[in-house]
Amino acid sequence: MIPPDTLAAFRFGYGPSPHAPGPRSAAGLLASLRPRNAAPDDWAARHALLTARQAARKDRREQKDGAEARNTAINRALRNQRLKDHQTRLAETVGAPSGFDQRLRAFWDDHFTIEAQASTLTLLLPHFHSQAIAPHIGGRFRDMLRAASTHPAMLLYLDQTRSFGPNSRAGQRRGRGLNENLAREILELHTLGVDAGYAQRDVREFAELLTGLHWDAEGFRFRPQRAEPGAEELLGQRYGGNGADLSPVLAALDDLAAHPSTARHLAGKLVVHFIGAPAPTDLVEEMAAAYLAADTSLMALYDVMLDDRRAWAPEFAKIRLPYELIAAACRGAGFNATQILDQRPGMIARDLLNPQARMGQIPWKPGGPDGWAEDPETWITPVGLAARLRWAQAFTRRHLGQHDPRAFLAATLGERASPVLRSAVAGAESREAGLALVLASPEFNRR
Amino acid sequence: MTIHRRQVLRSGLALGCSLAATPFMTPVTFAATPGEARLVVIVLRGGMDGLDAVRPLGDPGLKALRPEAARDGPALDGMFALHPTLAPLLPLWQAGEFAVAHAVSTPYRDRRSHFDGQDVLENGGNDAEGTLTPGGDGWLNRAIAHLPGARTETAFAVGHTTLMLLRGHQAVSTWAPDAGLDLSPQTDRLLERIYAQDPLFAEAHAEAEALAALQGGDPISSGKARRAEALARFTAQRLQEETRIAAFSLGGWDTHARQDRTLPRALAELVTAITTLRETLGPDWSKTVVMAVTEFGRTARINGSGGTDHGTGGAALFAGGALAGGRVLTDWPGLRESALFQDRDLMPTRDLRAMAAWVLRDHLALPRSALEGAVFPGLEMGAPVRLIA
Repeated sequence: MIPPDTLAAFRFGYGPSPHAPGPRSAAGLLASLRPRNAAPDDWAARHALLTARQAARKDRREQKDGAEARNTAINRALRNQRLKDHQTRLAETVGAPSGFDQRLRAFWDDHFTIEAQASTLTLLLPHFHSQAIAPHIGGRFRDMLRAASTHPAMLLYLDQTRSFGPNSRAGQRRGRGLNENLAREILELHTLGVDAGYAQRDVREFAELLTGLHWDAEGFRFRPQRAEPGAEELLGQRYGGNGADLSPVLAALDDLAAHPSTARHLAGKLVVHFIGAPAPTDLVEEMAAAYLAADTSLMALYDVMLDDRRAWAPEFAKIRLPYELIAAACRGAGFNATQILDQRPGMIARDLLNPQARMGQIPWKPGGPDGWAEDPETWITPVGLAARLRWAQAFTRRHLGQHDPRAFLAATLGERASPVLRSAVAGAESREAGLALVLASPEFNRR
Repeated sequence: MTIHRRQVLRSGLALGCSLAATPFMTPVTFAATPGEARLVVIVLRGGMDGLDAVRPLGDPGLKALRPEAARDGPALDGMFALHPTLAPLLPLWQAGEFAVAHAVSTPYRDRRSHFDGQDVLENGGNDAEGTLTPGGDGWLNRAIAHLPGARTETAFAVGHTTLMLLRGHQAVSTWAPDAGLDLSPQTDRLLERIYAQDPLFAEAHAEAEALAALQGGDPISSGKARRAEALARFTAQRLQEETRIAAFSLGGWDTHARQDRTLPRALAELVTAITTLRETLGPDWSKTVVMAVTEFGRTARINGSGGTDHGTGGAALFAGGALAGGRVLTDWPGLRESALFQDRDLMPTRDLRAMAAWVLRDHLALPRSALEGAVFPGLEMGAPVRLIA
């Protein structure tokens, strides 16, 4: 019998931490989502770095004196910022009392995947995560969808900044037209889901409706001169037509958030992510109904899922993503948030980013807007498992020197450890080997 | 040599294959081979400057576009010369084991993004804007479906994640030169016992052990593992076993500044990759074609920082003992200003996919109907290029 707090720490968190006993019930998990202070909005500082980088690049093109040195300096500043952003996130994950809020942040970050394709996105992505996603994980999906769809990082990543209403003033003057990328992905990935029965015509009209979404030094900005004039029809509903402004866009997003297909799509994804595939239809329907009845409340979705006995079944069908694995090891090793923040930036690359990439999860680059794969087979491949084994040895050597393997086994896996694993760890030829076996075990790698 | 491996290996997209349906521990003999022809695709990430790698010194327009650029390097014919860093490939050229396709590009146009450009290059689709074919898989993976007798070990992606080029429904193997299993025999034995309870881990572990054993010696550092020599040596070793198709990437081609210093570094890595493959493959080199392709060429003019920016038309390089090389294949568009694409890039006159398709047809015997259909949708291969001896 696996105690519920151990089970919850694996399935809904980042593993047990000696610093905080985790929730042991659905109610405890939900209570851990109570709103806390949002992270401060650091848009201005990030945008200042972007501006400085642009200026340095321009100086270099114009071959001004000292331009190379300024470029080197700004590149170093961008690198440090990137490492600091990863470090901050790991500290939040490791220090969280219940990991459920952090796991949900990761889930919704992934639902609204943005890849750090270039330095601008690398710099804006953490702002997207902390300002557009995190504040809404216990709120309404409607608000998260609005925030995500209008964030500069999303507008850049899905090419909305290249989209012009073909009949708009700016479009006519520059001879530019529509880019459907954002419209398509909002429908396919973020809301209705791929098989929800919308047509290419819906994509096109929705793309016309989205023209005008843009950004500048202050953040999001609507540019009416790019907006396609006239009303647009999406899923049989008409939006706009009374002059160019943002309100019909928000109305369409709100309707998409409250669409039954969206409800089922979100419910199915949550179940697959936390419990495993395939998602049982009855559970998905029950979650979707609760979400729709509660005005797109995400808490309603979680509530029904956690209340289902299948959420507490002792089969661990899912594989911890490489980031989850490393974070869980840090928690198990007894690190707290401050200790993570005290590491030198180079250590973050060595201990987090590089092993994560070798295990197949290149940080912030899932390879497409559909995010990380959910199936176990993608992760436990020969090369993926070999990378996990190498990491287990390196992590043991660097961070677990003082631990007793049997105590570490008890602290990180508790009742989840099989008799075979217990005897193998006890019978290992050295302390290091025993600790590495714990980290390499299926029990530690599954959730 | 007999090893244990899974009959069905999984790749990023082959999600449907259920464990229960897979006889997961199948001893196979590595000598069993579906044909002898070998193909290596090297993806040059960042956009190689074709006009500098293979210089059209005979075109009077070059001097106008690049007045400061060096004009040295071994001559290939009356028109083209190699970048001096590529000089070690001249003997291959003379032996008919090196060839160039010039003024080629994928169908990707106008937007010049690395990420879209690489996706189109690997996906093999026909869309100028970079939209992928349904499934988002790679053309080399789709090609395997039409190889007679293809099996898991036929195709190998070298690195920590499978290149899109090889992702798809056909099973491929992935391994990296730094992915060793540095475990003591006792620890390994305990690990085997632990994994015996979990088929997913047991399979992956057994196969990782087999691959690590083939690799031999200690795993090298991750820094070295990204270098051309390690990638090429490892690839050649696989090709001497059951593997017939392999792919890996080389970076460093995005030469926006000081190209006289930055491009030679990338070119030297490519030379190392080709010469290492040739030396390590030994007699099998004669059955091998290496194809080095990039997402786009670069601007025809040099920019303000002595580099070049993202462009369109470029060059693809071919090497291997199976080539009928010693030729630059091109419908040369010329470098007059009016001949440039959008007044800035080398005009692409031939679809890069057609070059790849002719290699697949003549070297691996893939039917033209498959190449112009499933492998490269929307492609018209055009006249034969006769690159294969």
